[in-house]
Amino acid sequence: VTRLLAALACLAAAVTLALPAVRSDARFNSRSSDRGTVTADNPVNYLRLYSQSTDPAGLTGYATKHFSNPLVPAATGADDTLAVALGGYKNDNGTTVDRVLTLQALSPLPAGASPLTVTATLAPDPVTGRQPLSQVTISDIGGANAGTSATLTAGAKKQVNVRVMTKFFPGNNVMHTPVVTLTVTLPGYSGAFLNYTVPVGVWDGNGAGP
Amino acid sequence: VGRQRRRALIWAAAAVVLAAVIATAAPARERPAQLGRMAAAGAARLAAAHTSVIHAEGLRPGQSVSGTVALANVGDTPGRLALLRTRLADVPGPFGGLLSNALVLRVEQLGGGEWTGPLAGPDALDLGVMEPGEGRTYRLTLTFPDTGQHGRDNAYQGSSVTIDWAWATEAIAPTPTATSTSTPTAAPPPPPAKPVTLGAPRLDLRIPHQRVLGARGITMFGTCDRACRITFRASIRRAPRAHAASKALMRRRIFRSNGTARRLPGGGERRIALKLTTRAVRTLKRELHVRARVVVVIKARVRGAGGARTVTRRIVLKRAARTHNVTGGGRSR
Repeated sequence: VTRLLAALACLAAAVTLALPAVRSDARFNSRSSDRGTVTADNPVNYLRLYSQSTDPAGLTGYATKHFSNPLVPAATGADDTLAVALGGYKNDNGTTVDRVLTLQALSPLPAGASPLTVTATLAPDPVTGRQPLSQVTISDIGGANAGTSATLTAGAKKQVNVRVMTKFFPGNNVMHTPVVTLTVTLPGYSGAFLNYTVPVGVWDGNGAGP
Repeated sequence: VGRQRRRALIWAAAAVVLAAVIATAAPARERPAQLGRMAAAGAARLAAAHTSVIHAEGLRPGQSVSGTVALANVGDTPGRLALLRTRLADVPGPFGGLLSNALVLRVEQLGGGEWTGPLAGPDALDLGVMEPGEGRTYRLTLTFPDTGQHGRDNAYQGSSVTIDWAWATEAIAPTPTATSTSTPTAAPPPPPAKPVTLGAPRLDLRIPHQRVLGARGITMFGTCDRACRITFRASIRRAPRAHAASKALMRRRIFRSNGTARRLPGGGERRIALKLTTRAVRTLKRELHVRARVVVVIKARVRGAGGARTVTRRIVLKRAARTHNVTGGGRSR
């Protein structure tokens, strides 16, 4: 009996070992991997926007928030986060506000990207539908050579100025937030993708407003 | 006792030898009978040569980037080739846009077929059967479509996406061959890459904030992952608050019949403007006057290769001071 059991055990072991080879029908997958990485362009790769508190050169003389006490710069932040609060301009017949913010071309610029052309345009407040800014210009630091567009070589710096006019606006104590769009074009690229949209708050009411 | 022990040892040795012979012989004896299946089960192997990998920084609308991959089935049997998207990792830009929602992928077999659709579309593409020894070259192209001058692309500024793909072969049973005495013939050309068909086309319908009654119509933007035909229906319903039951005010003829059917190509977004009938405008005005809110339920029936599906959007019109604006539109699939 012992001999028989031993023989059967050996036989079972052998059959068990052989079974996978006889029965295997597992499917085999062969793989090869690949990777793609894509990054969309960004205006910050070409142009920087500064307020007085973020100006790396320490430039002063930026526009202040009208009727603020104590006076504070109208613009805060930099680049995508730059925002402007011009303060109170009730029934204003037209006031030019210089150096609301500054813009500077990167140095060095990416290959083939020099010179940059920056164009400033205005859009009314999307909520109130009002446009309290009658003009936007880009000029040299100091105010010379003002125009709606400017050409910048690597490292060049300009300032943005606006003209506020709230005459005959209905209502009182209304905040209007029009948008100044600064569009960057390069040699070989004239699309509108590379742009900054800067909200500019104008308080049509008493005091400096929020 | 000694003889008995010797005899037992001989028996045991004989059993071990017998078992070993069986174990060794089993695959050899079974292989001819299982040859097709055994071979199909393990012999399709893939070799790839990456002549370039897709990598682009500073992509702008209207630009494309592409890379090619050469593949070969170095196995002994045919294999079904598939392109699998195993990972899609988005890093949104400062404005929160996901670049994978904007990019369009084109998979092109050089000298063969091609497939074009949204990058965030199907997870797998069936590229057909590769015969043993067959080689193919695929070009993958990612395009950032230019959707116009109105700043609609701004959300994607500075965003990035990483995609991992896997080229996979799954072994399949070989095509039955003629008798061994027949004259060998050239293998038929491999089938071109077939686009995957994962059910009905997917429609991405976006309804932006707009003035409906001023324009006496509703403008929306649609994207189909492949060529599709869309027909629109709508109903006007009361807009009760707090999830109360809404009453249908008008069930049909909301849109003018001319132009409610549209054809969209695969990929790019298209503007769809649907004009309201006079009666629908009157109904909307009356309800806005009385209750200040009204709902328009839009049903888009999408048909294309793979079937049909219905996409429903519910927009709420609110009475403004002097205008009527849509709120509640949005992008969803």
